[in-house]
Amino acid sequence: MLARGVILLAKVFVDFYIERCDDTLLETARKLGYYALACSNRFISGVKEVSVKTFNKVIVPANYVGELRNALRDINHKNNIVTVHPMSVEVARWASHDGRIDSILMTPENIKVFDKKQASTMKYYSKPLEVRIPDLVHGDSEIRGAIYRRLNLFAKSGVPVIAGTMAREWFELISPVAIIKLLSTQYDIPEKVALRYLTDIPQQVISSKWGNL
Amino acid sequence: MHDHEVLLFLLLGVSVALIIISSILLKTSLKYYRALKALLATKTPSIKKPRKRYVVFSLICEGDVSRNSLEKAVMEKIAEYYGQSLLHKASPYIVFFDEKTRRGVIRVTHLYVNHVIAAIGFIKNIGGKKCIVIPIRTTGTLKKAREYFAKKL
Repeated sequence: MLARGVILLAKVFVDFYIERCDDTLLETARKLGYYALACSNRFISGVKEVSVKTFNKVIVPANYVGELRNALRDINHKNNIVTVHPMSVEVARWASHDGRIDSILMTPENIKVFDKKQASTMKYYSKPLEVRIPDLVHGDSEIRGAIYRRLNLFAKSGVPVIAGTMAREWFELISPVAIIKLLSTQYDIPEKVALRYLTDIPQQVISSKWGNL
Repeated sequence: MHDHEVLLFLLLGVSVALIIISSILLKTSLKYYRALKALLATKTPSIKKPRKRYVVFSLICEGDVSRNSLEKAVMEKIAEYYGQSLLHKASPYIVFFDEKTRRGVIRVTHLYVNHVIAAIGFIKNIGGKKCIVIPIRTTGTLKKAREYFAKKL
């Protein structure tokens, strides 16, 4: 369809947050070097064979612990990647030590939840922190400053971090090389560490559920 | 007074004179040495010439894209993410762009190559058409960039 002169990049990258997966998006992801995607909504016909693996992802927004527990009860955590979007400190702490939850999402709406204690709790239970790439580049400077401080706090604490593009269409996908360069230039995260956010850490989460890909 | 005693006094006098002369010479030579050292130290530090890097990139687009619209999109994105100041420092320039193969090469200052790669990777729209820019390779010479530019799939 679209590309005529694309050199295929090494397929080592994982996009941990795609809003809507379709055939065109999978084809583009393959050209960008992604080999696995975590999709919230899947509309894949399966007519064309594409060597990109897709996994179901469920995002659970929760204001209090009871709401989160009720939501988790209904989710098949063995076949889905479960991400919690905590809106209070209690939910964030509780989500840190629950084995059914794969990652905790940090957005501008719940950024105040992520403090030093949350970082140490997440490090203790090796719970990955998930960030959305559009949040890192858009929005006002005050929010981006807050994200910079939190991201550096978590990165220096040794908490695993995962980045997702939150793409709905094929053109919303971002080249993984550009993401790594952005994290290193704007957020002062070393390139080698940023590379792990897109390769090693999401792969560990996926392989803990589905085995080695 | 014997002859050998006169010779001894004469030699003593000559040696004292030589010591005085050598000390004066040492003083003057030290003065010249310090002056030369000061002259070298006050030399202004040279400014290194910025080196160039060539970023080979590829496009995935829904339609045909012109070189001018691509250049405009690149400049706008760098200015949006890093400001006008960095845009002028980086001085990006599209050396060549093939509209058929949708590949091109951007020349940029070596200090800001990462900034430019980050910015062009976030381009989603070129001249009203949906697009993605994929940075393929960074090289130090145009010759090498041409090799990657012409590389087959």
